[in-house]
Amino acid sequence: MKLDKDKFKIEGIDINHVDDPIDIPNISYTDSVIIKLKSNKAAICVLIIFIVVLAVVYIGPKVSRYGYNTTNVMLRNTAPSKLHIFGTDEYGRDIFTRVCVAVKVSLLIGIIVATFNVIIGTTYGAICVYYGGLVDDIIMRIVEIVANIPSLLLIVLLSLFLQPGIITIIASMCIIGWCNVTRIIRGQLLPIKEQEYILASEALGAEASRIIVKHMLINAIPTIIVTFSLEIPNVILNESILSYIGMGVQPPNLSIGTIARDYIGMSMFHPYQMILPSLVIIILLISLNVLGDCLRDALDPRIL
Amino acid sequence: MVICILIVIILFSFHTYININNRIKPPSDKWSKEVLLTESNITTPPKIIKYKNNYLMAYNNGSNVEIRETNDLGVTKKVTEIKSQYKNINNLCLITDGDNVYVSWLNYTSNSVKAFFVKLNNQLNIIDKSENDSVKEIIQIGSSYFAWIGDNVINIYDAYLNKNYKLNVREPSMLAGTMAKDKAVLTYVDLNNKVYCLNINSNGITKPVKAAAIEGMSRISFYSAALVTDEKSGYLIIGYSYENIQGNNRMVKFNLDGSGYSTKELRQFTALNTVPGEIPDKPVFMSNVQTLFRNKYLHEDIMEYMIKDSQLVESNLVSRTNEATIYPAVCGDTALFCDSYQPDRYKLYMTSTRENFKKEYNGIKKGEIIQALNDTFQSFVYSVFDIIVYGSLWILPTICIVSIISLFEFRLKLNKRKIIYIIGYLIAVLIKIFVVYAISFRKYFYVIPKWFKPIEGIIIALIISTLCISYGFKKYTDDTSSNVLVFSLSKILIIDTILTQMVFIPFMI
Repeated sequence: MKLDKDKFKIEGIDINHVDDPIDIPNISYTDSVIIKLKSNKAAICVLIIFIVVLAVVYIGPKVSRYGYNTTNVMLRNTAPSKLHIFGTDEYGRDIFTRVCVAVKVSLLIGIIVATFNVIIGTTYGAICVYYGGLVDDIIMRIVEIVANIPSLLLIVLLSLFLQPGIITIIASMCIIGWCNVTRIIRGQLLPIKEQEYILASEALGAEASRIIVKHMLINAIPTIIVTFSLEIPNVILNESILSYIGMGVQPPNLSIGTIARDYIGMSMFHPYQMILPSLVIIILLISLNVLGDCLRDALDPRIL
Repeated sequence: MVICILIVIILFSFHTYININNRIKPPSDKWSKEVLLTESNITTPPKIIKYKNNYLMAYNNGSNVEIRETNDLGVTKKVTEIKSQYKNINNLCLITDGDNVYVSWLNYTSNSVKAFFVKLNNQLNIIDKSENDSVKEIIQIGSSYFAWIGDNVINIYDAYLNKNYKLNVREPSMLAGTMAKDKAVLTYVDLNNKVYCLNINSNGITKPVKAAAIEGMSRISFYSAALVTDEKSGYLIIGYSYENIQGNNRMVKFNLDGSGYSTKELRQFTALNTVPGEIPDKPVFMSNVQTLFRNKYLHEDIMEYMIKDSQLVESNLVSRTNEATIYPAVCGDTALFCDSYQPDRYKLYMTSTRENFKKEYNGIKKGEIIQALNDTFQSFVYSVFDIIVYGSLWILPTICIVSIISLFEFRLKLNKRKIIYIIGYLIAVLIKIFVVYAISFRKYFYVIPKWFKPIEGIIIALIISTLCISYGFKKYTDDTSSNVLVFSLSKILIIDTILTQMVFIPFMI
């Protein structure tokens, strides 16, 4: 008996429209990411907040009439006013200008460290997966050892060689930070390495560097972006903890940690000195974290 | 691999040679290396005196007092043990009249203080023993005077003349004494914290002169006094505890005729045991202080201090052992000190400034070689692990730059890849040289031997890098298709870093 199309009945589909093209818009991956981001109200909201905070932080000190370390004993502990939006501290310094400078420094540290960590972590994560075996074992053992060094201990050790300050804190967080990224990227790339197209590339004689860059890392870009965006608030938080206990950024330089250290003692008598800077910091960190999460959702092709 | 092992062997030999040279050195040009006399449970500073042509030393072994006679090279000739009823032996003193030997100590019991006086003949046999319940403090001055505080009285015993002197003072304390050219000088503090000074000579004792005053505070308690003099002045180092923390010292300089005084806090001087240097009319002290051995090992050692222009100046190191050294005792050109090597166990050492002593003991000892090898091995282990903090200062930036370059590596032709590899390594070498120069030759220049110039260090670092790059380059170019620039470079960079650290880190750790 000859089997043909007419002998079958397709259930659940209108038989007249079987050969019609599926009505899915033909859009690129980048466009889909942008569409997903635009449709996410939280993402738009935090993006606007983040941009506003950034703008204020960068423009604020330029338009402010006060230097971040300029003291004025006549204006000690002044409450927030039109002249001093966040008020002044016990030395008469303008808190708004100080917060702007501190956030700028902390953000800069966050971006530098996150960049270092993502570049080094991604490279070694990819190398681990591509070479596997002994190379993977050795790198992962190194990662385990280095990642478990407390940053406080490392910063103390680094202080033997470098002066405590911004460079030391950047160096100490870079030494440890790349390990976490390596783990994430390695985990992301392990299933990719098993894909047939990698095998096909190898069979066709593609070089190791080409396979790593063109076939493996290209597929991990969403993860890299998300890791980078989430690494920044993480670094800022670590930096502020270290600076708060006096091991990070040293006065007269400012960072979020030094601001917290300076004003926490005044929380009882002049609460605005602590509350207003804290609000800025909280807004910044929350917006960075939410932005990271939204980016993860937007970059994931499985989430429609 | 062979070259790498060869470099490690060369560096190990280099550092061992330096360490041996450091370890075999005597503590100073003046004092010789030490000789071990005995091991004992010492709880109070030992004493040493010259006895005929030999030396006599008194120390305690738990509840027993031992008197040891040695020749001038520290070879034991005789040891006598004096049993004590009580455990806590303090203020051990030893004097002689030229023939007989007198030993005294205090025993602190729960509710009283007992003083014991023992007389021994020239064979070190006990010929007399007495006890006294009223003694509060006892010291020896030189090798022939005892001075002790009784009930509102200071007793002085001159062993050579067999004479006793008494001085009625209301509640005296903090006795201190030293030998001057033709006399002994004694100081004490009265109830009003005034320092009095008197001389003892063959004619008896002079009338005490009010020499100085020490101001106390409610949280300060004085616990020791050591006196030295020059021709005109007396210098009293007073040890005190502030809020129960010992190690604070104050120097009181006073004119011997009582015409004036000055007081100075010795902030950097945290000695617990200070004794006069026993050089008549020369203001020399010996104290246990923390010193830097080879500018990097913090040792508790005995230091000889001189007073120059009313300042306490470090002059010569007397000991150089690894263990914490305490309880200096000195008799002219010979000194004793104790090393704590276990709880309640001390090694008693003798040292001297005499040439025959130096000739005998300043040679190379087996223990010093073992110690030097241990130093090298230890520093090499640290060198490997210091990659996290020292080496990473050039590894991380290089890896970061090379990682970015690696993203475009597959687009490059072989020649360009080779050039990129060399440029990447050159970046690492430049940062490495900068870090090595800034840290080892500028920040820690004082731990680097003076003969080791920065240019030599840089040349060594460059040689290591050249050897590493030539090997790494060959390995990379052998099979560029399966090698990734960043991975090939980082492997060899880590080896380069470890070898470089093996040159510089052992000087610092």
